[in-house]
Amino acid sequence: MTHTRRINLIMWAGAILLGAVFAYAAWPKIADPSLFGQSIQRYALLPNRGVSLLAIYLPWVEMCAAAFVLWPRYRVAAATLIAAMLVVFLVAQGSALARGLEISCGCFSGSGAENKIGWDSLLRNACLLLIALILACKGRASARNEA
Amino acid sequence: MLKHICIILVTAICAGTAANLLSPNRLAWSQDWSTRMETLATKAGLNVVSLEQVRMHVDTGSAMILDARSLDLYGQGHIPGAFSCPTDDMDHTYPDVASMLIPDLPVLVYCAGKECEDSMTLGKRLLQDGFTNVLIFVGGYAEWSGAASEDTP
Repeated sequence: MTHTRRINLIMWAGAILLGAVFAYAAWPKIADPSLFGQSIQRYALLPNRGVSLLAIYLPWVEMCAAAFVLWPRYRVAAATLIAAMLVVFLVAQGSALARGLEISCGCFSGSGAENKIGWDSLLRNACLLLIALILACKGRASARNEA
Repeated sequence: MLKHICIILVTAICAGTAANLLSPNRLAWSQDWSTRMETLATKAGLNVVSLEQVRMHVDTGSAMILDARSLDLYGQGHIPGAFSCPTDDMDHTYPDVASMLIPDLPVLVYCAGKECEDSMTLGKRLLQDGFTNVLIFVGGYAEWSGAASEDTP
């Protein structure tokens, strides 16, 4: 297997992993935006209007990014968007931890039954962020080389 | 790349708008989320009580008070007379706590504050198990301790 082919394979594996995780995370929120809104509200970071808009649109941004990251032409943009979302999630969760809030993270559903925010959810997001950054940077470099 | 990001965002905005207009679970574009816990608690059949009512129950002992937060947080401070019943260890602690509740006496549940859902989980479980007068203090320990520190000269 050539080096380029191996890199391509790794890029596809990363894209499929990110796509699957984000689609899996988005679907329950799309199905019940009200539960997701409650999750956002528990972070106590946004005004009322912001909570509603985020509950309506964020799951769709996640779902679209999950779909577009599988499309090589849009991979860099989708991975960049995913990385930006993960940074926001990390900041929100870190701030909740710092404030001692015992809340569910709202990552994969809006339900309060989900696991609470902790170092494990921060670590998971950090790993996903690393994958997204590799996809975005490597994809940009490849595009530059082809040009 | 910016153009591609815009395409993804526009697609998401269109899909989100269409879904929210067509979905049976649609959200109001703007609503008061700060009182949503109270609304949900009332819908679930729990009786929402104020800080003043909690104080009255504490003073008169007219309700069994359950703290739904973790044992650690309970240890750091709790409403006087409250028993610990952490929802993160419900299978273990709930049966013991439920067995000592007096059916005719109201049960008051609370957790950390407006952002937590543990008191709601515990309250619903009590209703399922046949306790008919379950009170919930949505403001939780945050409101209680905040008021206590204001009262301290």
